[in-house]
Amino acid sequence: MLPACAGIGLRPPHHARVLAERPDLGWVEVHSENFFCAGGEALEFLEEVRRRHPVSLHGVGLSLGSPAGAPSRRHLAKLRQLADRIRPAAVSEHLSWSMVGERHLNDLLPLPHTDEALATVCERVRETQDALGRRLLVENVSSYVRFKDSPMAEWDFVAEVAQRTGCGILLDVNNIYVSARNHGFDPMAFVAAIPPGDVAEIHLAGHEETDGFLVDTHGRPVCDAVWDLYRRTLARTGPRPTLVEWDTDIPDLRVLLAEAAKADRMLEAPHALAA
Amino acid sequence: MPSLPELQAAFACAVLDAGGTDFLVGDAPALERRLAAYRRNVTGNWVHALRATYPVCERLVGGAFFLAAAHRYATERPSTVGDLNEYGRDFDAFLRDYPPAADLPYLAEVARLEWAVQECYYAADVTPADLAGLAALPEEERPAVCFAMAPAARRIDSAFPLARIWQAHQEADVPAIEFPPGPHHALAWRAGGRVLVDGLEPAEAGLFDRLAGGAALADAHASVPQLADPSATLARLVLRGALTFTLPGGPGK
Repeated sequence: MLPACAGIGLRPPHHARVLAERPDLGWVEVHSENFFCAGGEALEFLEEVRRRHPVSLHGVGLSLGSPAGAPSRRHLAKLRQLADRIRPAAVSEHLSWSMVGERHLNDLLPLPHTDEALATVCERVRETQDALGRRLLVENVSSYVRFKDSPMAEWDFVAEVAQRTGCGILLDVNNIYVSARNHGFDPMAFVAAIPPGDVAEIHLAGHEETDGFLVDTHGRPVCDAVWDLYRRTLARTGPRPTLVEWDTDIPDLRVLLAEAAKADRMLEAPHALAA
Repeated sequence: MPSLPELQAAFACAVLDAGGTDFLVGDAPALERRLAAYRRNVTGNWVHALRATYPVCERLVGGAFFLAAAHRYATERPSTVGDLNEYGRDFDAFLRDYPPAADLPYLAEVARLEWAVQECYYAADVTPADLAGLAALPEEERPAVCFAMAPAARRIDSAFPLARIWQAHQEADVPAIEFPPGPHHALAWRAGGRVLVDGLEPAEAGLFDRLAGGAALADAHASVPQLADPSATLARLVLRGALTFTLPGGPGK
């Protein structure tokens, strides 16, 4: 279990400094695929970090929204190998797809919210949980387009995946906000539809506006509206492990730690204890 | 009603090949702007992965040339891997047939070396060689010791001096490099987490390849009579961590 405090997404530009300066980190999250290797300095680094902090393995390549096949099973075998070695506090993936047939788009693409997609995702989540022998956390992604044939609301889809498979929900508050703005729904409607007990982790990140819509760049500070949505989410869920992610234009480690400290102050505020 | 895989194929086509968008909500111009964000992400991830794996190739041809080649590669050879560290495995084969690189025959060869460097970087660890144990072995037992190539080592032969090119392009100021006639023998190996590349003399490469192929020490020595001091070469290769060996009675025996 991750501690109910703030952590940071640990990316290669900060690896050396984290080892050398031993900053006070609640926990860290890394992209699983960056450590899909048999040996070498990357794995050695992660093992050292694991000796100091709880580690969350966050996947970007499992393509839970695609039917299982040989490539996804190979990917899952690598994830299992890494999890066996690191013994992470949490393992998570996205409610998205990137693989179609043999082709891989290496991005977190949105799903239509249909019965067929729900059944596909649930089967893949079960397969993953069985392979890892543990509960998986699944994250809602941001989206810029919607499918015409998508009869379920996204929040019902997310809640139903957790209901059917017993997985946890990694609620990305920034992704909710980005999608809400792009598609014109109330972000609190999303938050309110998620059973608080299923929320095992929260993500925060920055986005940018281009061409009249929001793009989930992870390249900016968390904006005020997302902090506000986070505060209102905590009022429903109570304190939850919260990650600050920064993946493009990665700033100095101190900037990231300051964002995490801000999340920690909200986690400790009385309203976060409501639930 | 289209199935999920059919919708996903249509989505991929809309993002990468400017295919139709009638399965998505919104008018065509607005959708095109939004799909372009996915296109930038997808191709950006691929190009970023190629730049990370092939920095010497990029330095050799410059950023603009490299970006154009990377985009063409991404279009012609769709990714089939969910782990971007595995993306770009056949970039050398692509460059060999890439018309703008026709005058740069060494470029594909450098790419071949850089993929080998990447394989070394991510390869399995081995326990350090027991050189003291080897030295302590009775002299009559030494010729029977068998070697193997370390997981984090690769050998590449080329008509071009790849090791020299690779070394020179680790720094910003690149000296002029002469291309004496080949073949040239390069060795990539991992030391302290980082991968290094060096050239081997033909006889050294011969010794290495025999040992890496599983030949016993005595046979490997006999195969390279022109090598003045095979023991010194062997010690150097083992100390680099490019060769491993198993002592008689050790694991695997």
